[in-house]
Amino acid sequence: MKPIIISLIVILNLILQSTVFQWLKIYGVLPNTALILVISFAIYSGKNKGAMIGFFVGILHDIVFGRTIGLNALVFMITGYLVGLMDQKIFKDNLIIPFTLTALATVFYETINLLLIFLLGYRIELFNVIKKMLIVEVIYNSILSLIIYFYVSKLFKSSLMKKRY
Amino acid sequence: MAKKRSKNGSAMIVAIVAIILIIISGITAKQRENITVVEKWIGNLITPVQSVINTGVSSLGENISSIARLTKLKTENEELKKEVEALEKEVLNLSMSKSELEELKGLKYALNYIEDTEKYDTITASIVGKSPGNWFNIFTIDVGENQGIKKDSIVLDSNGLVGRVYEVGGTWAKVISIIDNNSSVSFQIMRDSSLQGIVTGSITNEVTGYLFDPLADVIVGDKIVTSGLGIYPKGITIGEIVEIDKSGDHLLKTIKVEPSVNFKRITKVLVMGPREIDY
Repeated sequence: MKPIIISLIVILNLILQSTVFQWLKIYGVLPNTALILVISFAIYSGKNKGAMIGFFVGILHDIVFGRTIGLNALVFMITGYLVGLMDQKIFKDNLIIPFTLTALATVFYETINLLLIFLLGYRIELFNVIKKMLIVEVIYNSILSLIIYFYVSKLFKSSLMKKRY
Repeated sequence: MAKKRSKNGSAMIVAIVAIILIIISGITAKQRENITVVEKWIGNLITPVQSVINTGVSSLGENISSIARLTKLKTENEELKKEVEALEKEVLNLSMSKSELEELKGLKYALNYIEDTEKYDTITASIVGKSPGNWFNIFTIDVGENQGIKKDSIVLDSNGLVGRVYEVGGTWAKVISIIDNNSSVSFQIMRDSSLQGIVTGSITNEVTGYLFDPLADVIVGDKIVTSGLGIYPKGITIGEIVEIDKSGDHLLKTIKVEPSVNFKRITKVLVMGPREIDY
């Protein structure tokens, strides 16, 4: 049951992100709910599954919207893996965990993105990116992560996830 | 011991996959002729769902925002009336120069001047999804190969240039807008077609550009149109100059452009076939 539910949520999120969430832009910045989902899932499923979930979210992202295949998959996979590493070491009911992790992961995500985009030869204005995108996105994502994490943790504790088919 | 090995093992797998992904993204970063079958199928599955959700949500959003704008309507109406007056005067002027133009065209025909024979069939499309990231400005539209869309088709809306088709699937296509980071369009000033330059988008969705001639006399408020160099045909409105700046070295005159298309509210677009020039 678990993989099916997770993949359904991931696909649904992808569709919502490209349609409904476009109306939730703040200062032209879109919340990265996919990243928050990957973090929340990774906290509960460990590094291996975290990396796997990250990979699939990213590759879907790339195929449906990306310019280059592999870029998002890479970033999401590494994020999922790194967050998953902390699986055993953190107290999962504390809401500070998703908040800080999301903030860190957003910075990490955008830094890798920046680096890869730079290496692929696109034009970048670093100052503008930080001022107009990164700060807003970090705050927005972190706050949203509280809500999403709350529901994900509820989901993982419910009996639905423990059932095997 | 065994535990340690498995830990390293998963890290290895992640590292290997990461390297493969870097290679793949390096390969796919360039423009490709065709997309793979897998990509096509995933696109075909997801686009219809997006289409349904997006039409519902955007019509709802439009209604809500139009209610919110009711108060502004009165001032807007007055402004529009003034604009109509100004435009009527302009129409008079233009109809005079039109007859002149027709004369000149006849002359051109007589001189056997080579011209782009561009035939455009336009297809209306609606936008089904916008790129979820903040880096690129890409959106998907609900027409594709089956409707005859090709790569590098030109996308417009009623106000002006939107962008070009980047990838085509069966029933969907990805469009790169001119405010995207990696899009550049050559333009000319509407007032004087000899003043030309290039505008590019940026990550922060501002359109900036420069003029080839640093001494060109441009003013804020000048309208710019495509110049016909590159993949875009001549004469499509791009936008209006809102800021002129002379860069430090005094070699380039840089401009900031407000696109005439409102990219936040765009829902319907027109797609024209790619530019083909017969000689």
